[in-house]
Amino acid sequence: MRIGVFVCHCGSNIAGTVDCHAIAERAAELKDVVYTEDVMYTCSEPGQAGIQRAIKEKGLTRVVVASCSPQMHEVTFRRCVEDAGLNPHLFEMANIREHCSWIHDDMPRATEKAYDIIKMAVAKVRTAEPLFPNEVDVNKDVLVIGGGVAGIQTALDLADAGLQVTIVERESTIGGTMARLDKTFPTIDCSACILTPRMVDAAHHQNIAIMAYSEVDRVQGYVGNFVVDIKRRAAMVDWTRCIGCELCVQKCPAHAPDRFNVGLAESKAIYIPFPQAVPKRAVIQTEYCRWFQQGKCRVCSRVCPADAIDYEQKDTYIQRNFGAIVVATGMDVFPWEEYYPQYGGGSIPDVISGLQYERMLNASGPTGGHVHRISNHEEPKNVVFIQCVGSRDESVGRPYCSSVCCMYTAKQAILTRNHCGPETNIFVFYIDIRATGKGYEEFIKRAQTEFNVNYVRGRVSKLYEEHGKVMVRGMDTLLGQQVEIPADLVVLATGTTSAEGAPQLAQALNISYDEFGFFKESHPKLRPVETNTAGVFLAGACQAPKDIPTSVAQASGTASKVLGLLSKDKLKTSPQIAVVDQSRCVSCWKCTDVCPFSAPEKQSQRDGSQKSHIIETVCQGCGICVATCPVNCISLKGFTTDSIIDQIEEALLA
Amino acid sequence: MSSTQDAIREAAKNALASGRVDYFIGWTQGHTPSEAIPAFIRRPEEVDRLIWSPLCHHNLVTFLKRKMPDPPESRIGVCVKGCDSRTLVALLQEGLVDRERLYVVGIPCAGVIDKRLVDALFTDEVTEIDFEGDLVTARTRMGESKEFALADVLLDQCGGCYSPNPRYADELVGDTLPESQGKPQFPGLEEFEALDSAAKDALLAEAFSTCIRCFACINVCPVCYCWDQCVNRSRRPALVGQKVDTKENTLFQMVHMFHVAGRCPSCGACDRACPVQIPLYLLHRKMNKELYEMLGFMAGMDVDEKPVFQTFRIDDVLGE
Repeated sequence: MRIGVFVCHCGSNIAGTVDCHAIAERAAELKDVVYTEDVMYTCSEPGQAGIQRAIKEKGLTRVVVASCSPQMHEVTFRRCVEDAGLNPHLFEMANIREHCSWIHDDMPRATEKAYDIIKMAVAKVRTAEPLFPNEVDVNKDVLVIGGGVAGIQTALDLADAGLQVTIVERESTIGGTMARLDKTFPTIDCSACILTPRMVDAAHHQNIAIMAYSEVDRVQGYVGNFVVDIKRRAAMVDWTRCIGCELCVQKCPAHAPDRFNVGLAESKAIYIPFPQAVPKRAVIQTEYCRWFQQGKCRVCSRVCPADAIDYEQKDTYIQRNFGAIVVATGMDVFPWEEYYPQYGGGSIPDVISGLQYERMLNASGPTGGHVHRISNHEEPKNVVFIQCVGSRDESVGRPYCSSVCCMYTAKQAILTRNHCGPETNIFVFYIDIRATGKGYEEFIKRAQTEFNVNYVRGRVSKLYEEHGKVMVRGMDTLLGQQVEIPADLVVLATGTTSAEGAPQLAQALNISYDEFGFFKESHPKLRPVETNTAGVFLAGACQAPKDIPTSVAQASGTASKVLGLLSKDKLKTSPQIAVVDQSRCVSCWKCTDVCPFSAPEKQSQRDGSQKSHIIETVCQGCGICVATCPVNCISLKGFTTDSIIDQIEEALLA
Repeated sequence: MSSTQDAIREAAKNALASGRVDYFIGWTQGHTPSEAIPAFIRRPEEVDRLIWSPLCHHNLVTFLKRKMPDPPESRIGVCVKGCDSRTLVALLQEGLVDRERLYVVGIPCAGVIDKRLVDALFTDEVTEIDFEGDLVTARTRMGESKEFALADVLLDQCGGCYSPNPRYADELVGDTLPESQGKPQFPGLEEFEALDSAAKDALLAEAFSTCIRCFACINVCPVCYCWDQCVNRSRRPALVGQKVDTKENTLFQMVHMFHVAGRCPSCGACDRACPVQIPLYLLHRKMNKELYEMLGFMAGMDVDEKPVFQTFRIDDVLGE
């Protein structure tokens, strides 16, 4: 066995704290190590060429690179040694940057630790065995979960490239949050005018199937071969017959809160969210329907010209296969009522959320675009906007910036000026203004100068009703004095929160999510649209609060990553998978219980007993079964128990 | 008591005579009338050997572990008390016993005695123990005799037992007992929990230093079933050293504790089997208490439930 060790300076990243040259010389004394070298940048072209040269000239059979995290460059170096004729799994990385130089400042001790890390890597590579990947066929259909602007964009990009795309949307129409907005910043162009043509494009695209009023129920399988159970919720309306004429909606006698208009208006028990809905199909909200609640009525069934009403309809489940999954489930508005009792907690009628105001401004909204007070329908004289409600507020557990509120508040302030005229006083209470996008800062400036919006820097401590007004008590921190404004209408710049059910979906998809329910990307810079589960991608605000331009840009980025993945007919699977020593298996089946991929199966033996067997192409090498197996008879190729014990012993023995 | 004993004999006789089972596992008198031992009854005419009294502490489910014993197709009758039934349920949850091959006679149990407590009352060997209602009479080989209350010599976990009635049985004999209401109790941990970490370490090190690695605790444990493949005895990989010293002994006991966590209902069989009186209940009962307080989980309560460490629920909260 001939091991080569390459110690990377990483400029001063490592060499600033670790004496790379000294440990390279010391490593030469380790058993089986025949060549060592310290290199300025091992990952650079000359650095990699040096490794390949050494493999050929010194006859190396194993290689250790001591540098950064394997997350960063393991793939790079595996490819490098493979090109020089070595099996890529006869390579081991010692992380002396993230695990050592970056977190220490005492050079002698850091150098000692770096040497220990290298020793352990050498111990591990000594027992390494060559591993070979498998190949699996790839299904080229794509599932997009969520039909908001991000999901639509990804679906259109993929469909244009020739892939078959299925959009699964929880609501009865695609469009998402953007469909409810009036205008968009910083151009004040009509939201619906941008979005609805894209919705129609998606509906008419021959490569796109839209499954609205449906939810992902269960996900099995793995990259290239996902098997997804989709639940189609019972709409109580046969959508193959419904023509969206809205006759039933007009005649329905039962009222229901209008979710699309955020409670600003009432809808009917049979419901089409908005006129441009895609698909434009009716849904009976059974909890409000007289037939379902009281057993009489059936008006919709009588008036429907298409005979589409079906009171007996049940949820149906279908199973489909996909090669990749894009999650674009978007976000929800922060439920401010529960968290801000000082703002009335929803009990003051003239205090409304940003999304409610968006509906009020909208010409096709419940007020026909007329801005008025909720309490008495009079036009407001004083309008106050309060920013950062449910954002950047640790007291309500939301330390993050919702990223859109500064901008939509400025937009709504400008629209208020347009709607209400020059006599109306407009105030915006803010902490900081975040306007980092293209043309955003200029937009804020226009609101302040051209549209005469008064920006007051400070938080509002309390809202209360007095003499028919909403009293806004806050602090102007620039003037250093308390201010009190008798407002007619208060609009809260409510922040964004993760979509309802996001953690449950993440569990089903086996992807990570943060404490707020936003999905986690694999790496913020290197793999920003991938998740840690191969074949599952992210688009839009389900990852973090995002505005429309960013969501759409990311959605196209995601589409390109999916295309890259599915451009191949076969996928190489990682050879780092679990394998069972069946002679020691006690058939307790804990592995089958814990595996998120259903990789272990029961395999009949010649003596009639059954033992666990890992299906190679299904195993993703996560190692849960390895840790769970009580007799330790499952091992992970490339991470065998013996090799880890070797490493520990190397670390413990001086 | 005797009516329950008669009912057990009757159940065993019927099961054997009808061919429902090939053999029946119950309890019989040991070498002296002061102890009960497990009995394997193969013929209907043998059933009168079976007894039932607070001496019957053995958890007979131990004989079912590891996929049921030989011969492979045999059908087995077995008696379970409340706590025993929970170990059986734990095995059923994991699919490790075949319920079609079992005939389970469940016995509501008001508590079994801790023979060690009786022995401690005498200097001589206790050879006879009689039960009369709540009164216990014990006699020694030399003829010394004492009377005391049953409650004073019960196993500590029997007071406030959370499952006196079997959680799973094909046939129930005797009258069901009132189920304990309120939170389950984990007695005997107060002193241990009051210690700081260093003192806990010292206490456990002291206890484990006497372990002779006879493996009685894991052999008797009804939910510990890896036998030859047990990592505690494995040479490849060598995870636990075979040297009998405090460090390796501690590792051995910790492995056992973690491997039965979520399946152990604190039946206490390990504790009673230990020949050097290591307080093994401390480990297992403490673990069960933690599992209950963190995850609301109690082992072996429901056949249709999954063992706690094979599931993950979003609302699982692991401590603060």
